[in-house]
Parts: sequence; C-alpha cells; structure tokens
Amino acid sequence: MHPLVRLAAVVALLGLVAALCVHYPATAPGHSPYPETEALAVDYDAHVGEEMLLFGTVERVDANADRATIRVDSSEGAFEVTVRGFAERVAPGGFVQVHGTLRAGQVVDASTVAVVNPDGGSNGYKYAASAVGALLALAAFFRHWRVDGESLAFEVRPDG
Amino acid sequence: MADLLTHVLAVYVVLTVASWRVDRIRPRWVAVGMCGGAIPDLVKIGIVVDTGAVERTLGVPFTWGALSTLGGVALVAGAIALAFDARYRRRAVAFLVAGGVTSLALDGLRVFADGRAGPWLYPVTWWRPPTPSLYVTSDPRVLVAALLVGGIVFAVDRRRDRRKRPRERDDARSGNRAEGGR
Repeated sequence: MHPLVRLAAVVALLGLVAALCVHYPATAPGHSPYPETEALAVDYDAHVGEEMLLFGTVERVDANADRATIRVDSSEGAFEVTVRGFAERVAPGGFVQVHGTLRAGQVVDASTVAVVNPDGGSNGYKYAASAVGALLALAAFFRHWRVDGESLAFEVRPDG
Repeated sequence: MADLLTHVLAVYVVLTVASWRVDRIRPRWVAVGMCGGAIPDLVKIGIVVDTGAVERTLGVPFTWGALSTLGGVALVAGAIALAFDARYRRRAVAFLVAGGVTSLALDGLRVFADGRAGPWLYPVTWWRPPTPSLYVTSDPRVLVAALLVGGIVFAVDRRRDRRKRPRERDDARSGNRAEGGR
C-alpha cells in the first residue's frame, strides 16, 4: 500500500473517530436514565424530583450538618448544588460522584456519595503515574519495533 | 479511569501470562498490546483541548469520552495499525484492541455511585454494565497492586525465558527446528 494511500486511510479513520465524538453526546441523552448536566445548567427547576448522577468538585463542606456544596461543570456553564447526606471526608477541591434526588433550591438528597479524589492534589499523582505509563509503553514498543525508512512503517527489530 | 501506568501494567500482565500458554503471543505483540491499553486514556486530550472550544468551533455537541469506548478503541487501533508493515497489520489491530478492551474492562470495575459503569461498549450497546465498585481512580493501592503483580509476572517470565533458551539450543543441535525469537 502506497504511503499516501495509508495516510488517506488514517485520516478517514480519524474522521470516523471525530464523528463518534459528535454522535456520542447527540444520542446519549436518549439512553440515560438521568437528565443531562447541561439541561440542569439551563433549567434546574424543570428536573426537580428526578433521580440524578452528578460529578462535581467540592467547594465547601459542613461536616456538622452532613452537607456539602459541589460545583458541576457542563458545556452550558458551571452550577452549584448543595448535597444533603454528605458524610464523607473530602477537602475543598476534591472530586465526588453523587447519586440522589434533585430537590428545589439546587439541593440534592444523596442516596450514595462516592469520593473520586479526596482533595485537589490527587490529580497530580494520577498525571505523574500516567506520564510514567506512557514512557513504559513507548519503551516496551521501541524495544521490539523500529521505523523502516523505506516503507515508512513499523518493522520488527532484528533482535525484537 | 485508572491511571495510564495501571492500564499498561494490566495489559502486560494479561498478555504475558497468556503467552505462557499461547506461543504466538510474542513479547513484541505484548508491547503492541500495552500501547493499545493506552488508547482509552486518549480521553485525557480534554485536559489540553477544551471540549467547549471544540463545540464552539464545530457548532455541535462534542465529547472526547467516545475515545474511551469500544468504538473509539477499535477506530484508533485501526489508524495506528496502518503505521505497521502490511505483514503485521491484522495482528497489530488484534493486539491493540485487546489492550484497549482490557483497559476498558478494568475501568468498568471502578466505583460508580449508582452501581453501574459507563456505557463503554458503545456503539455496540448503550448498556451500562453493573460494577463491583472495586476501586477509586485516585487510590494509590491500585497502582501498588499493579506494580507488584507486574513485577512478579516479569520475574516469572524472565525465569521461563532463561529455562527455555538452553532447551531451544539443544533442540537446534539435535536437528529439530526450534520456535525462536521470543
């Protein structure tokens, strides 16, 4: 296969990837039991009483009252909700999942709260580990494979 | 999702252990599978390229999240496999997809507050498989476990390799054509 034909095929496949990235959010709402976060950002009150799974960054915690305020980001803008029944130990900046029922006044009665990051510093650890992972995968790959200058393709190393 | 190092190590463990039974899984294909294990992590492009900016440019809703699904893995694997010489392409796709699916399955075991993983089988189905909620992504114990198991598998594999080489030399001496190149 000529390198230009291969390049065209790669571009076509990446075009399909982009199409998938557009198709996914266009069709997801019809398959989810929950309202979209964008819909909540635009008109929260229209969804009061509905069940919801929220992903948000912790802004404030009132441990005495088992409450926390989280910020939910969406492409329609960020909005805050108060979570009732929040007994977890999380510092501001932490990231949580909240499953519960939407109540009036931007309040959620949580049935389950899952702590994804206990504080804002958790992301640094994940990024560092991911950078090491990328280096490990590349090192393992080029231990066995090389780029062949003539065919412009990956070829097995003589000792690979 | 689990961090990229955990993904890569998980694929290494699964494929290396499988290679003890299946001769066709050579270390070079384990390495390709490890790269496949990184495909779902391409979703982290969103940290650098803001989804909102892409949406404003395209004028339609957009998410990098589709990269972390079966469809995204298959398409990216196909694109990467085209960079291989024609003799290796089919197997490259197979190992890239195997690595990617291993990572997706591992992510499917993590905590979700409603007890169901994301729809990672998209576009085949929107079904959200139940999750045993085994871990949260920021828990360092997950990475420690991956490093420990990866280290043990690496040591056992090296030992098997050392045992196998003298046998292959003996086979070659006695005129049998040994399966080399591991």
